[in-house]
Amino acid sequence: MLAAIRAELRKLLTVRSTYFIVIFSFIIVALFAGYADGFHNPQVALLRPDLLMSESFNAIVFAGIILSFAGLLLMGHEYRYNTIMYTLTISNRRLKVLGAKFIAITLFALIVGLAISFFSPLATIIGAHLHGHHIGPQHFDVWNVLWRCAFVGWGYAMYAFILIAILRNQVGSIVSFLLIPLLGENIISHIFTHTTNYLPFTMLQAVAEPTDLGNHTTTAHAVTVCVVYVVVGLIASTALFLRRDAN
Amino acid sequence: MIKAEHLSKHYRKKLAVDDLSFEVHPGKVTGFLGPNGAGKSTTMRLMLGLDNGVGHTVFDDKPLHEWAEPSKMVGVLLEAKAFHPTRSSRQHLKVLAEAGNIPMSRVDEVLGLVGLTDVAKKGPGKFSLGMSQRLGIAAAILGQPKYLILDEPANGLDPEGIVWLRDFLKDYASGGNAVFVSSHLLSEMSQMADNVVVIGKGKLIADTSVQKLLAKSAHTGVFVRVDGVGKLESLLKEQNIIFEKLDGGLKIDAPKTDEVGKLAFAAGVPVLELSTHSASLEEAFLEITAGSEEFTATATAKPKRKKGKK
Repeated sequence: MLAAIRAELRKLLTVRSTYFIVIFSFIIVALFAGYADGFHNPQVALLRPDLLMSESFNAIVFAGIILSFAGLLLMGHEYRYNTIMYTLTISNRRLKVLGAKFIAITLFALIVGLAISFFSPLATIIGAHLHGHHIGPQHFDVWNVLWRCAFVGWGYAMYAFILIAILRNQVGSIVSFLLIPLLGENIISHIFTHTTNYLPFTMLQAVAEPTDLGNHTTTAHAVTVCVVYVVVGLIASTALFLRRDAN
Repeated sequence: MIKAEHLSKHYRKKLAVDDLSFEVHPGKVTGFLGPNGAGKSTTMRLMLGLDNGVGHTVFDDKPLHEWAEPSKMVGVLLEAKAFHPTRSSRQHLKVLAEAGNIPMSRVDEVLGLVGLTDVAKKGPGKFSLGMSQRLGIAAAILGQPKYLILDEPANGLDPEGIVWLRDFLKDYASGGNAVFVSSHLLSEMSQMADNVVVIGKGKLIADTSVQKLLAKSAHTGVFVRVDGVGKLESLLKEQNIIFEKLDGGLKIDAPKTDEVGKLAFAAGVPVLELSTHSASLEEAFLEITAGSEEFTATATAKPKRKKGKK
């Protein structure tokens, strides 16, 4: 199993797209957190005591989606370039291949996701200082930021992973991954206001917005909904991965 | 030994592989032949467990995935361009080595063996088909497997590459390994393969040695040119011996030149030329696969002349 995980990590780290995605995420977060919320924000806005915590949460909600593409591509490239044939021939268990991909994507999402989450408030501080402003006294609950950002980053990565494992089509999965939260869940939430408490992406965002949980949603509820989606999705994708032809 | 037993595969209503059983023996190169769409690639995928179907294949009495390290049992080349275009050739092989618990030192060894050392740092996206095949062969032999399963490995190789591949595969098999290789290049296959498995429309047509296949062909016989062919023809008809007119002489369905020499003597005609006529693998292949082609051309291509232009 360790060999399979090492191989998946090597796959992830030996394609340009991974680095492009990571660099792009950091640049976007630097622009939003560093320039818009730090450099460009008026002094009064910088005095909010939860400013830096919310910067972390905002960063993971946005960057989490972008970072998930790296995981999606790890699986997507296998089908696009038909390397899945060799991956499956080398391994003696299909489950081992899927497990290794799951672990590699999880590791990537956690490490880079947390790095982004802590980079974001740092960028805001630097931005504010460059403009001659100062940040007000902050309440920064490290553990709260840590687990919420880790969960949200991992959740996005898992949604993407499940989509590509089921669809086995890179373009289709990317489009679906973007359309479901942006269009699908928005439309559903406008039509059925109560169902928003059960929508996967909405609930994942809710985990990262602890001060803004509407519709009587609790963090525990949001986490439970997301975990149920991930578990059911993983069971479905595993069953399909084991039963279907290689590609 | 690789033993494929009762392999079958349906694609909706189409039966792609139909109860196929054959063996691939160590120490030999076994050619896998069949017309386009005969089911060769599907059969290989079934053997490797990549496609779901009926039947099973064992490698030394065990299915491939029951071996702890499958890459040391079977090396595979199913598609020349199956790699990430921007991941370097060396990294591509390192990924496979990592997954298969193969020492990393093998990567540079096989790159050298297939002649890709100079482009090892380059992404194979812009490789020619021949270079891609070389990378695919490097990946197949990475784990020094006991068996090689190669789908059209000679496609796109230059003449030097084809000769290299032929010598390499023969040498690989002579070391006690088995090579199972499909190819459309029949002349090449006749020089490379010891045995052939021929399929058509998913069914087994022949599983034999190349020599036996050629010997069985109607194109194999004895060619004789005599002065006074009519007399010999009459004698052959009397004795119900099958023959056909060919290049000013007769091709007689007889196993040895001795018998034909005696017949000519009996007919009282002087012999001008007497030789065995061996069928080519192409002739034998076309003969036994006649009617089992999935796709056939209906007309010869002639350049159309546009009206009003000279």
